[in-house]
Amino acid sequence: MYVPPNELTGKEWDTVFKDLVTNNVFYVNISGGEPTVHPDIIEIFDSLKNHQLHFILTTNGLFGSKILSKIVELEDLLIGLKISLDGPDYLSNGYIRRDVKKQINEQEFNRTLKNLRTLKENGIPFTIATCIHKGNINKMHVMMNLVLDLEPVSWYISTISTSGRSFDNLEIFASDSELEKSKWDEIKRVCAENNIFVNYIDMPSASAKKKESKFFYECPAARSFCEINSDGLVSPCPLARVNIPSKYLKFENIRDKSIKDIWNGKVFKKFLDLSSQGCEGCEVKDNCDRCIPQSILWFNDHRFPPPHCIQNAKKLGLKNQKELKNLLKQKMEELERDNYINIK
Amino acid sequence: MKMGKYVLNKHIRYRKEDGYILVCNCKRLIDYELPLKYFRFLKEFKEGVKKGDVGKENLSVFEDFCALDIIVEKGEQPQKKREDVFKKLSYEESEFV
Repeated sequence: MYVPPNELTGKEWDTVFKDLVTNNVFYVNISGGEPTVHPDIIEIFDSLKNHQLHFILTTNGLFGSKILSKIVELEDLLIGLKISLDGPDYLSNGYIRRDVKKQINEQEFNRTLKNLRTLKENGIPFTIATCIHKGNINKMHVMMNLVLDLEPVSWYISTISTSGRSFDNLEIFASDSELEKSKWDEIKRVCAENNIFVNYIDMPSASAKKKESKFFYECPAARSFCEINSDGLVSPCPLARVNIPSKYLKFENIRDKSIKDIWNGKVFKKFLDLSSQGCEGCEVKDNCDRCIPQSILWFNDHRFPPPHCIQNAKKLGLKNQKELKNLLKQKMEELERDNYINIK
Repeated sequence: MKMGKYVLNKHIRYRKEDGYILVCNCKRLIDYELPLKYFRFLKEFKEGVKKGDVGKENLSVFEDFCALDIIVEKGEQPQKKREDVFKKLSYEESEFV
């Protein structure tokens, strides 16, 4: 199996977990890529147990029986288990979830389903995460029936984020506005009747509510949360790592420093300083933890308001509203996401 | 109220923050804030505390701890709950990224 160079080994993760517990970190969220393909994943799980560190696991659910048994064994420390399932059949599920040969693989879909059913039988609560795209957007009601059968605690549905690898695959992007709002509402209602919480993430059309209050960011990055990447790089959040170039911020590595020193260090301080500089004219800038990674992602400049703020420019009182809207429109066309956000 | 020794629920972790104690039920992702003056009292639960031994100044906090499942009688297990913990993670909601 291919292991990317410079990834933290099981032994190094053990040192990291020890450092986290020593510095009173309460829990970790283990995600990926796919964490269960790490060659030392069993050692990593055992390390969590040794340090009595609670954890959340986000996985594609393709793991074998050894890992499944370990998850069941660690149930006491397991806070939440999020498993990706994109479609109700192997074709829609495999549309963007290919096997190692980049093929749509029916067996992999069946294995994920089998694991989900085993977790259900063992009473391990789990959440299903679905990413919408061209291959499943029209199968959401069939998918809902499968979800009702699997009885997760919750079902998280999101769009593909326009960052990182998705830039090379923009043709697979589907906006939530491609499905009628009433259908999203119905999915949420039916699931709620069955004690399944549905959460729409990054889906402004599906989750739209009439809000009287002014929108502002309340961001936990570098305030109550940070990311330790598989290569040891510590950043305020995944978006910051992916979108903020080193000319702005050069993130530090957990191999070189304790989490305490990084958390209290100058890089995180600078991030907080940048995110607390409100946008020109904004009436809620004193309360806002502006999303710097989004400003840089869309405009290559941390001083620009993020898209959602531009959408609400009038309500927020932003300066240069017309120019900002035109620029965002231009960027959305450039990124082939002209249906991303509705700008009047 | 039972009369045995009370210890911290095994899912409880806590630390000093700027001006308060942050107490977290890590299994349910519920946070509580407590005045710093109770730090020593919290530490006592490592060894176990009998209700009868709790001083007047800490009694109401002790009862709150019981009600919130922060402490449990030694040997008892906290009850499992079916709930969506991800909803409690503010960073999961990535604000139209």
